[in-house]
Amino acid sequence: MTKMEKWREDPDEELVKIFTRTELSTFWTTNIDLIIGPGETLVWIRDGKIEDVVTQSRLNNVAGGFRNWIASKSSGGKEVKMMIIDNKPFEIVIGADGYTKDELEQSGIAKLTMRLNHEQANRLAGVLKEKAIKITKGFFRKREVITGYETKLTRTDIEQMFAAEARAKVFGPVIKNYESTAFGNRELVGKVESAAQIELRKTLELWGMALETIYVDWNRNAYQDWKTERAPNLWEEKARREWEVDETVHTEEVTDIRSDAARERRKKDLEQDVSELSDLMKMKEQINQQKIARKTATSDGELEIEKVKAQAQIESSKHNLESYKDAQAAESEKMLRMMEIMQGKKKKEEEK
Amino acid sequence: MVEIITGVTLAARVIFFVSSYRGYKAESKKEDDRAVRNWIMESINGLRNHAVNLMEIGYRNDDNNLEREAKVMIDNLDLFKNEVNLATTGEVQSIWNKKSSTDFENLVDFDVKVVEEIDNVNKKMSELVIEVTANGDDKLRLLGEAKSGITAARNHFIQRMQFIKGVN
Repeated sequence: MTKMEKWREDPDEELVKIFTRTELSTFWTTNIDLIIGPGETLVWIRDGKIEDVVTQSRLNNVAGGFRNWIASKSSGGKEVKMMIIDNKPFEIVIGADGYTKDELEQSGIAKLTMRLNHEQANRLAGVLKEKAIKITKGFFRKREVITGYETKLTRTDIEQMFAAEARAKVFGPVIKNYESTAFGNRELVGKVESAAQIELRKTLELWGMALETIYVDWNRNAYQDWKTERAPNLWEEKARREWEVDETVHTEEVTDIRSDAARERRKKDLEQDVSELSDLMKMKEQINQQKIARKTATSDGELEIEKVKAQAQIESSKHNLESYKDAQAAESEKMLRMMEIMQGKKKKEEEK
Repeated sequence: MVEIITGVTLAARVIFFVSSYRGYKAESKKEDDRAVRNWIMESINGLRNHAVNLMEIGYRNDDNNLEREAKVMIDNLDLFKNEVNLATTGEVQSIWNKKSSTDFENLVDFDVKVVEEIDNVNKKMSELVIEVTANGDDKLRLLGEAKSGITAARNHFIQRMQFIKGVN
């Protein structure tokens, strides 16, 4: 009966584990199956060189069982290691602090999502090679002696590797570029991410890791604290001002409505006056027209009368003239008759 | 270059990039799949370096647009790499469910598409970095081509993954 063996005791903490030749030949002995799940990689290193990389497999049927597989892999070569890497993204938490442009202290908690590159397994092995286990020896003269190297790479190790560098190269300079009022804005989030990708790049590549995302949960700075403390008073003041503004606006509106009504009323009165005046003007115009018509009619009548009078006078004059002519003719005739009479008398006297 | 490539077999076009590739012949199926995926992952690391270089130029010169575009490319490359990481490995076929050689020829075809597209993006990004550094006029065109190339390569790989599920 085979039994499943987990390659790590604390999956939340352990990310890489190296098994040396001695461990492989003692612990991983009989009837053990090993599952390399999605996001995990088994790297076989012989004499410092990567010989095989296994992903997503159950190592029980390879070359007649895991034990035989190990046996086939570990035959020959002086140094044989099996390294299992968790290459799923994982999160580390480090402190972020610095001084803002306006010299206020700013701190926060940075959360970095990282990944171990299993294709750069030799670099990861190098990280573990850096982690020597030292013990103090000697009674009178104490000295540190390296007794071996760590076989596990943990999340805490990675946090410690990056904390100081990130604080000095990323958070400090970025915080220094912004005023205390800017913390929490979107631009700052982008700048922190860019700075981390650029400034930590060398270290990340050196150790076969990649930074996927980073964000900082900023604590409140002194300015924000002050603002928070002042907030109730400010809100009260703001509310009072808003109320005053509302009241003023309301009053103005009422005044406007009133003045509008008065204006409307005046306008209507004015319109009425204008209308009445216009009617009166029309009436006056009509009266004038009538007067003019009447005058015209009167003057026409007088003219006619004058004409008739004149005609009558002419007629009278004509009559008078005729009468005068008749009278003159009668007078002339009378004179002639008198003259004839006179002449006849004379003759008669002469004859006499 | 075009004459040479069209004159050779599909497998040879992959061998041009992945020297250990044998076109899924005999017992080399798993190894070939692993070699191709390893090549893709290492190439993605290279593309990511180009993108980080672009981001650095944008960051140092206060070019927010370039910085943002580079960030988008990095995000896409990270997702692509994640897919390559989590993709199922082709298993050694048992005698009962052995697939025909045409299936594997199709798989080689997918490998050619992915590998050549990644190489194409790599060239575009190299040009882009030079163009951005020299403040040339072709920046936007190359940026667009690089971004679409990453998406195209990723899509080819997704198709390959889907095909492998069918082959297994």
